[in-house]
Amino acid sequence: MSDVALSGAYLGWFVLALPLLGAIVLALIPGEPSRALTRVIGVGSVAAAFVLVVSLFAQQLSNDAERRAGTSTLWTWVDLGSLQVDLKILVDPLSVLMMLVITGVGSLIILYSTEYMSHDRDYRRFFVEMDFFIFAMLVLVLAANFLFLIVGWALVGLASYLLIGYYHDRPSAVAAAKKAFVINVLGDIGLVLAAFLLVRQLGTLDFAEVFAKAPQGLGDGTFIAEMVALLLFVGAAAKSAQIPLHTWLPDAMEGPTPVSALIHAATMVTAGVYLIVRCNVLYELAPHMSDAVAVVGAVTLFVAATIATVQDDIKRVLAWSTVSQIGYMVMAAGLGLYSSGMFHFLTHAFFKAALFLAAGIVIHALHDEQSLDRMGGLKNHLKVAYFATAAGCLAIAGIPPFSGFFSKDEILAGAIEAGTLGKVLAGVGLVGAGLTAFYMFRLLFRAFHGPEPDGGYHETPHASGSAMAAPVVILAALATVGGFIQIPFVSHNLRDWLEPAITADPGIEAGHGQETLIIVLSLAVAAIGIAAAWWLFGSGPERRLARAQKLPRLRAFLLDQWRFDEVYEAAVVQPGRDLGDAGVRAGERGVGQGPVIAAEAVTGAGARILSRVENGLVRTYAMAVIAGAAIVGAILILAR
Amino acid sequence: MELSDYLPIVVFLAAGLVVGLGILALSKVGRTKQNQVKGLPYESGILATTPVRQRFSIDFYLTAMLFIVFDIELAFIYPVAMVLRDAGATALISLLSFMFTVVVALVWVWRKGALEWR
Amino acid sequence: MNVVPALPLMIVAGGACVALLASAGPGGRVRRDGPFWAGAATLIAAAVMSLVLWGDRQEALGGGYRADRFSMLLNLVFLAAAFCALLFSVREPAGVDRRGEYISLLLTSTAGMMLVAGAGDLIALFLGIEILSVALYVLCALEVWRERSLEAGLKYLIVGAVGSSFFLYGLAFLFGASGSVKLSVIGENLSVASFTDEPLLLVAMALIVTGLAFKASAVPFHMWTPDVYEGAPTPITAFMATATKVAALAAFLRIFGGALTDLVDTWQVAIGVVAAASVIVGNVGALVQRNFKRLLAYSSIAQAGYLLIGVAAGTLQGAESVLYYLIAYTAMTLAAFAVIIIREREVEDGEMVDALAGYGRARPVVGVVATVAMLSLAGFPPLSGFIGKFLLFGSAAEQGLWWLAVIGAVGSVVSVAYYLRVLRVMWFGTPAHGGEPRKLLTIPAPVLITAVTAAVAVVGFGLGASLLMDVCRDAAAALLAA
Repeated sequence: MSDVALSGAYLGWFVLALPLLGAIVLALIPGEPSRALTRVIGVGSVAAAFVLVVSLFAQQLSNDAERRAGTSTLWTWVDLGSLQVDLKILVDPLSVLMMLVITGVGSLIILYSTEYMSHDRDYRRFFVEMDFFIFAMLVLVLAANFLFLIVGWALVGLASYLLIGYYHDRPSAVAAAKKAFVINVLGDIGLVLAAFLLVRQLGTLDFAEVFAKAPQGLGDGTFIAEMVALLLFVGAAAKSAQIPLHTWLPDAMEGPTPVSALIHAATMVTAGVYLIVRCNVLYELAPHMSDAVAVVGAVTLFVAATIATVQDDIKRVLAWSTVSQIGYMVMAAGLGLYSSGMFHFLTHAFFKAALFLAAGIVIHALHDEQSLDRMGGLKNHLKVAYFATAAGCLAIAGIPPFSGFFSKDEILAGAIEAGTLGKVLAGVGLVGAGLTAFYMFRLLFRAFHGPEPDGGYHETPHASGSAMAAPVVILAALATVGGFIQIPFVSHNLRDWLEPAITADPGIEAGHGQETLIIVLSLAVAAIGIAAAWWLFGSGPERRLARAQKLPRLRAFLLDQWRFDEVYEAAVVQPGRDLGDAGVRAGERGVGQGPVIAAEAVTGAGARILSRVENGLVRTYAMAVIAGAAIVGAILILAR
Repeated sequence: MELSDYLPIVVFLAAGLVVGLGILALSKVGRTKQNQVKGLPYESGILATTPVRQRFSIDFYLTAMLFIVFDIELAFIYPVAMVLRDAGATALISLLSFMFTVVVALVWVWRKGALEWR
Repeated sequence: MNVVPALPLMIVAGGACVALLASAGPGGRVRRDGPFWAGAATLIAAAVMSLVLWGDRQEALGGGYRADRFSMLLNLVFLAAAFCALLFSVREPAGVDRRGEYISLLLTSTAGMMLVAGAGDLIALFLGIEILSVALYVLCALEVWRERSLEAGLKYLIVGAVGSSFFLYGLAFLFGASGSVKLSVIGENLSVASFTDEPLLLVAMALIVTGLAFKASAVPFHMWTPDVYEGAPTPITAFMATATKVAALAAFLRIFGGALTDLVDTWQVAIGVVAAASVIVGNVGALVQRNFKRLLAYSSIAQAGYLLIGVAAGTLQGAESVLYYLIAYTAMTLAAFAVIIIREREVEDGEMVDALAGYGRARPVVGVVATVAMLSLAGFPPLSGFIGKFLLFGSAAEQGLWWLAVIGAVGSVVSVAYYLRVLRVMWFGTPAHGGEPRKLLTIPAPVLITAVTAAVAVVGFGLGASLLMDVCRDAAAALLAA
């Protein structure tokens, strides 16, 4: 990453500024702005940013590899003499790839929302928050140092909090928003601590400098290097919903569907993958942590896939499927297959956004009905949604020539090359692929095939307008053909393109034999999964209900989502609550509690203040001061 | 000085604790007998003839307090006056500014009516 | 005798007298408006004078007062906090009813704080602490018709006396151990001889930590804080939560960061433990508060803990971070209290968190001010609270105090829960009686302007951190200047 290079890097600031401006202008318009104006500003600012990103991309394409990265500094932000942090952005192939998806898919989804949210009272707030989210996400990927990255990281968490809690009159939405925020902040702390370690060891937070100094400053495989990688992964896991920090994402489906498509499928949840890929130098220095990352990814992809097989809420199926697919990306990144991970990120953004938006059309048509039990036979009513979902399902299940086939197989074939662990994880990935095909086609068959529920819909589901249909069609088309940018045996366009950003690429490449093996195997498991889904769900509810009685315990366990929430509730949340209560009780009432209660009963509220003053409270306070002095003295003597 | 040099103080503290706690503990030992004389305010003293909680007008306190405040100032002024010739202008200016503060207080007290006897 | 360096101090002390006299003066207009204008003019004049004196150290009052970059920077913080309190009080019952006394006491307390920040010897330090405290005792109880206010004043007085006596005792021991009351001489004397194991000094440090930690409301000397913060008139609470804490931390830096800096290995752990305990107790305690003022009281305990982490680091970088965070903390706390002051005028239970239900939607400006304040207090990037915490914990990590950095970081995660609850109620909550929040009055312009200014400052200090930090570095360097 040289500093000269890309002359247009400063354009990145405009990319950042446009959505922020859009959000601010929209928020500041006095009164209730007309819906048309809201639409123009809301969609326009992001679309304009997309155009800018495309021009950046074009400029990069015309440059040779060394001149594809550039930085631009606004001003020195934090200056401690020893440590200097600038307000600086980094425009390189990796960040441009992310930006293309964020602004491109983002503007499609916001366009879709103009119709989807048309019945909402708070029309303007939705677009303000969406634009703000895009801005935050762009800060995250454009940041050229860890401090600025943390800013983006936290702002994204805040935007996601606002959007999950968008329907603030639903208590479940507010609770889900809070949960997401708390887990995300936990991740932020991991990042902050990692930053402390880097400052202490390397004296800088700038990406370029950190990556240049890391091999000497941290050492290869040292404890510090592993710690940095671990702390960074805490942040990544929280944002990308990896086990054990994944519980917030399914609940986050309380937000409006476009939000789920944008934040909880295409962009924000992949931030963790971005972070690991961005810090590839650091992860190559921490072999054990990299393995751990890969294992966490594999476990997540498997667990989430099993849970997805029993969900009855259409959005929850997709949510768990997202967790599972990000598991693939994290696993790839952990194994050193950085560009494969980014490839899967790209195709996933297309097909998952298409799936979510198609689900949105269904939900919209059925008046906010999300349960698969109340769906069926929709292919006759909602053609666009049906074909988009089918394309998405084929893509995610890895059927050629749909995009998911290329990216998933690249990960699995690469994994086989990455040592013994890689081979085991490739096996897990294959099983996951089978499960994926099963649960996705289960969704397709249950929603779109079979008989209509209760012998027909009360109102015929109404097809959507063009503002909703167009983005779905575009995304479905991309999901279909998007995989061709990188074809096994033929081309590594994406890999070559990302090369300047992934300086520590270990260069794992699958041979023809493995590649063929994986293609055969994954096609086989996908076929099995689809066949099983057809056998169980293809006809109607009778066979499904009969089969569901088998294995009730496993089914209940999966329905409870492996009981992660219950364990957290028992182990963390409740003790925390108790501690807070007890602490306050002990601290505030303390020794004087008994007399206070007695006095309260006798003399009532008027006397309470008096009794509190006379009945030992001030005495307690003074006693605490004296005891504290003794403790401080003791520490001074013991610790000298 | 070493920490061990403080041993006498520790011994002194310990002795104090033993005596104090000992008396407290002894009061719990054995039976206690109550009778009327023991319950009187001043055991074996002169009996109170007027109510203990006699009320005074708040003005007494106010005036008494103001008297103390302004009386104490004299204690500061007098020593400075004695050495004024040696201490010179610095002392004079300091003292004057101090007296100015007192005068401010006096003016305020006066204007607020604290010197009126109601 | 050179009095010029002490002029800011004298201006404020003189202003206190003028304000008091004005309230007793002839004519209704002078009595009504005089104290306020006297107070405002005084604060501005003192701030200008502080800026004029910005530069290398000048001594006044026989070395008892030092005007250097450290004290002048803090002067500006005290004066700004006092000015905000003054503006907050325009419609406050106590501020209207006893305007002269109120403003005079506020100025007196400010003068005490300025004396603390600029103290050149132990006597001035103690005098400063006492002047600021005694004035505050009275201010807390100034709403004499409210039992809570009286209770707060009385409690603060009694427990405060205990704290002050510890402090005084500690100063006496320090004098005994080092043979001087002058901070600079103490530093010199201690640096030449090996005093590390001197018991007198250990006792002195224990007692001084006690006294100052009491003023900073650090655990376990914090117990008065929730009661007093809740009971005192809200503008006074705001003033106490900010300026008093700044003064206490200034004294910490003057004594431990300045005079006793060579003994850092001795006192580091003790202050670190106090800091850690404050972070834990403050954050856990705040979790269950329903009263906004009590919540902020517990939060201020936790914030004192964060600040002490920087003191415990014992480095120039630590002191610099403390100064930066003190300034940021002052701005965000003032913004938070402004919200209570605004709501308190409108409804009986305005200091409860629930009274703010739906308030953000009804009054977006106040909502945004509260949001900025809460997020910054929680340490949310890129606001100044985040930068400050990052620097404080970073300076501890730099010194190998990882346990402190981790406790601080985990503490701020916990704090997100309760700060966020306020925001959730404000933006997402529905008022108990449904529909719009009850009763909205026009916000007094001075209060609203102050609130918005404070919020802007929170953001500005965050984005322009390097400018402010340059100033803080100069100020911190003055601590060690010979």
